[in-house]
Amino acid sequence: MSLDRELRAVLAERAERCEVPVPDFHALRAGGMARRRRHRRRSVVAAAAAAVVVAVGGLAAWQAQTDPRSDGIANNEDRTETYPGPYVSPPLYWLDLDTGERTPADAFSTDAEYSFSPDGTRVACSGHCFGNTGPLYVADADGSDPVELQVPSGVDNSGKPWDAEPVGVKWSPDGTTLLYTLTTGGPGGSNIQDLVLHDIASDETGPLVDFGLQDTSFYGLGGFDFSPDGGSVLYSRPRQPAPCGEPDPVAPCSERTDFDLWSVPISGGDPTLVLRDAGVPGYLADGHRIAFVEVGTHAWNGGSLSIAANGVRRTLFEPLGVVWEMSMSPDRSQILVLSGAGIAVVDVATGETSRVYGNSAAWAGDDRLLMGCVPQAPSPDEEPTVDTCS
Amino acid sequence: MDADESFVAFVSARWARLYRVAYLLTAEDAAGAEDLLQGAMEKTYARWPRVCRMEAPEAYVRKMMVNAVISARRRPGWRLEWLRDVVPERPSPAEESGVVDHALLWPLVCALPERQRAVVVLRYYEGFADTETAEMLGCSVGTVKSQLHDAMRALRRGLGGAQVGEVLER
Repeated sequence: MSLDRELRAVLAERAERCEVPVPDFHALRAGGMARRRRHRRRSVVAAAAAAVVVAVGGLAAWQAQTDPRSDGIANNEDRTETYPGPYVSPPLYWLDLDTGERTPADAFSTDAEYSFSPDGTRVACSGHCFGNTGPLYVADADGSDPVELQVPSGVDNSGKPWDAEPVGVKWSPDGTTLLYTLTTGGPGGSNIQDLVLHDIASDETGPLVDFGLQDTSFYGLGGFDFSPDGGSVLYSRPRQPAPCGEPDPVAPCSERTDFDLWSVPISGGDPTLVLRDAGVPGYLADGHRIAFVEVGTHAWNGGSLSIAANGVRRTLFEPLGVVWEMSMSPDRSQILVLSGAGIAVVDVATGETSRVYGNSAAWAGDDRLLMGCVPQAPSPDEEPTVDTCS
Repeated sequence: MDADESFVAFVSARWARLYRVAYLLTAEDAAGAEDLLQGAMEKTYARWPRVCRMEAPEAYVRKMMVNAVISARRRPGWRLEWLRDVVPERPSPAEESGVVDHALLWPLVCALPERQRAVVVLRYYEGFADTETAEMLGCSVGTVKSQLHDAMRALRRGLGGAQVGEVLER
């Protein structure tokens, strides 16, 4: 068979099969004009900010940008929700890493994000959770008794509120507090994303770090984690303005942005630079060593998984594909790596690696994953199939 | 013809073709494809006085779409919705030896990482050479060849199959 020929045929078939919508010229003009205005406004803001930086000095500007007392979250103006119809979730499974046994996780769906508490008894869910639609729920580990939590709303550049969604939820070691960032999820534009602490019992929230305009906490190699004692948060943030994914002849975006690791006490205070040229961090059990992803060839591309202590870095694992997520097991003895090459579980002590077919996973215990395979997500480079993904 | 009229003429002439490219880039997500093209066209309109002087404004729009798909925000965990108007069709094994079942091949294309899928679409739908694809993606020709090689290998292996959750290597 000729795969080349068949690819040409199937792509042409699919393209011709689609119903082409009529362009909405009014919306195009309105959207274009809004973008033009936004760009001008950003240019003015950027010029003013540059002047401030020159006048006050880079250090003062940096401290102002990361002042945990500041608030205000903005998003792009043209956020749109696109839910064309009923969502059909591919199946998710509980996977026992010791035995390889796999059992269906029927209460869980891929249109939500899950994070299990360190003791494995509860789960935080954002998105469409257990039959509910809301920004954030905490439920028992099997999805029962979900309780809705109130997420702080964001504010865009013009002062309008929008419903923010929590992303990258992490539990404090004692299971009392959630840490997450906020995102608009809208197409294009830039977001402001803070690190937010959320007390579960009181349902009260407070900003931990305000990254300011352009910088984002979950783009590229952004990520965050509690320290094992729960006293501080380790996070990565871009050193330069966040990268843009599109060509712009008027104001070219940075193609590459380096990331550094910072630590901040959960009680507030000034962030401390911990490690340069690193992203997606996590503490090991001793609270001293740090697992992280080396900055790759550009801002969207994670390199190897490494461990650093006392300024010495050593490579633990070379992923086959681009890393987009890394998380520590509850006992912090293993690292879950999600990459373009699928799922890998790396033993911290030995570096031994298990590869699992799938592309979505979260820790649900020290040797247990909630995992699945979602089409349209980066899939494993090896042995992909669609029979249990669709 | 003023700038607005020339933009309308450009959109009218190129919309259908570019929508089909967006449709393939987004793995048959009709709403996502429309959003992708709409966003690219809005940006084009905002910069039309400059873009219209380019040799190929269509290439500019296409490049924006490709880069937007590839550089979409890194999505955490499995917050990777696959939205459909209807329940997806199930692939079935090819009955005739040596013939690729398109119902099996297409979902495999959809499951490719965005960059690999973009390379496949640009090569096999748009008919671009490696050099043109490299220019569009802002990478080297070698990277394009590598991406295409990986994609073809994945598609060939996909015609076999593995089980979700299967531990491939310990």
